[in-house]
Amino acid sequence: MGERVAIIASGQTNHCSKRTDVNIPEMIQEAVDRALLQANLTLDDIDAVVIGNMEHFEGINLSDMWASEGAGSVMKPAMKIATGGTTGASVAACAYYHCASGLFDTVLAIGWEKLSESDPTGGIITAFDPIVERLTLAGAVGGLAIEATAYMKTYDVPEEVFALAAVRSRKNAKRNPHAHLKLDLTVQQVLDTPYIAYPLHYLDMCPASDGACAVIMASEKRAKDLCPKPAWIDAVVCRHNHAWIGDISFGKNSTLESAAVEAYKIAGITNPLEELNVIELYDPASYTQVSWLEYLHLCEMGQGRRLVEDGVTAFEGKLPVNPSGGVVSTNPIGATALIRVAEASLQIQGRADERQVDGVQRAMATGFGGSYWNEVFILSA
Amino acid sequence: MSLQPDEELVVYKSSMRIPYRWAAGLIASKFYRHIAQEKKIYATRCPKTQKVLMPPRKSPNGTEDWVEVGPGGEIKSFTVVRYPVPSLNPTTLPIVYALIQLDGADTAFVHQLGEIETDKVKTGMRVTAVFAEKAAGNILDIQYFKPETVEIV
Repeated sequence: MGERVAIIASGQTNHCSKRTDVNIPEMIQEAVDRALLQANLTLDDIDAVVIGNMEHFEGINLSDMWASEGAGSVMKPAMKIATGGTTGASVAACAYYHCASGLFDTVLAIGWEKLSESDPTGGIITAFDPIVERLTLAGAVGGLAIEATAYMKTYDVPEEVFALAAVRSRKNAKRNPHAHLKLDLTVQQVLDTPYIAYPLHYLDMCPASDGACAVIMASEKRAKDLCPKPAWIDAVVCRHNHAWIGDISFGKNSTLESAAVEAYKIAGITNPLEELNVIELYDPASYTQVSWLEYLHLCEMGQGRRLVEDGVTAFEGKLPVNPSGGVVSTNPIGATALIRVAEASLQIQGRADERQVDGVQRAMATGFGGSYWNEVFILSA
Repeated sequence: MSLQPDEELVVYKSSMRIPYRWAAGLIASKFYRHIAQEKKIYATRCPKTQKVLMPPRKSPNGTEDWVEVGPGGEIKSFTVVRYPVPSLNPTTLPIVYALIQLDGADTAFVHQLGEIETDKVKTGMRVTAVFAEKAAGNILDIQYFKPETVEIV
C-alpha cells in the first residue's frame, strides 16, 4: 500500500483565454509561488518536482527542462508526465507515488497549458494512429460527440438535460476566482449555440484556457508537521484503455467505472452517494456530467439525469459536483485534471472560500483523457 | 506471414503543420522593445543572488531591476558548424555559435558570429552586437556579434 500521503497546499493561476503578459515558465511560477505561499514553504523545502502538459500543444515538448526556472526544479529531481487529458491526474498520481514510496517527503506536482499558443485539436490529432484514425476521426470533440449520441439513444435523454449541467457548472464558476468562464446562462441559450459536432453545442463543450496549477504533497509525518489540516489521499486508481475508438464500448465509460469501484474498495466506501460529500469530475462536455455519474455508481444506468434535474449535484445539493465550475468552465488541459485534485483538497481543508461546500469529510476527483482513460482520487479529512 | 515478391510494405509519408504563437510576456517584450527602439540590451538583476541575468528574468515580486549590458562582450566558448541541416537551420554554412558574456552581465548566452573568418575565432575574444535593421521580436533582432574594432593610435 505504501506510506500515507496528504496534500498540504495548492496554488492556481487565474485561468483565462489568453495570458500574453507571461511566458510559459512565468505562468507556471505564479501557480508554484501561490502553492508555496499557502504551505508557508520555500523551494528549499521541496524534495522533488513532477510536471506535465500536453505534447505538441505549445511546440515545446521538454517542459521539464524548458520550464525549470518557473517550476522550481533547478538542481532537484524532476520528471515530466504526459498522458493526454489525464496528464494533471497522472502528475498527481506520480507525486503521490513519490511520497508513498517513502523516498521523498515533499513533492511539488505541476500541471500547465497555454492553449492560446496553438491549435489544441492540431495537437490532439498527433495522439492518434497516423495512418488510421488521424485521417478520419481525430480531435477532441468527435469522440465525445459519438458517445453522447449513443447515450441519448440508449437512455432516451434529451439535449436539454446536458445543457442544464453546463448552465449549473458555469454558475458555480462565479464562486471561483480562478475559473475561466463565469456565466449566468439559461438552458435555451446553450441550445441556441451552434453544434460543434452533433449533439454537442458550442456551450456544451469545455473552453480552451491558459493556466497552471501546483499541488504540494507530503509524507504523513511531514504533512502533520507542516499543515494544520492536510487532505489525506485514501485512494489513487488509474485505468487506461484500447487505442482505437471502435474497440471501446460506446456509452460505457468502463475505465471510470473500474477505477471508481477499485477506489471505493481501497477507501472502504460502500455507498458513494451517502459517503462522498463533493466530487470534482473531469467533465469535458456537458453530457459527461450526466452520463459519467452513473459509472461512479451514484445511481442506476440511465438515471444520471435524475441527479442533475433533481438538484442532487447542484451546489446546495446532497452531493455537489464541480463547485469550482468544472472543466466546462476552465480547461488548461495539462492542468485540468490536477485542478480537480487541488479543488477536492481545498474542499477537505476548508480553503475553498465562496465555493466551499459545508462539512466536507470525503471528496472525489477524477481525470479523463486519451482513449477513454480515467484516474480516480479519493481524499479525506 | 511473409512478403510475396509482387507485394510492397506500406510506408505512409506525411508531415505535421501546427501553427504556434508564443507569448514572450511582459519581461521579454520590454527586452525586445529596448533593442528595436534604442538598439540597447537590457538584462535583469536577480534580487536573491544579485547576479545580472541575460536574457532577463521576471522577479518573483514583480519589481525587476533592469540593467543595461553590452553591446560589447567576451566569447566564453564557441563551435563552428559545418554540417548542413537545411530543414532546421537554413543559414549558409559554416556558421559560428558562440557563448557570449556581455559587459555587465553575469551569465553568457548563445548567439552567432558574423564578419569574421572562422579560423580567427578565439575563446576570450572581444565581440560587439550588430543589430538587425528590422526588428521582429526575437533574439535575431541582434543579428549577430562581430569582432570589436581595436583602434590603433
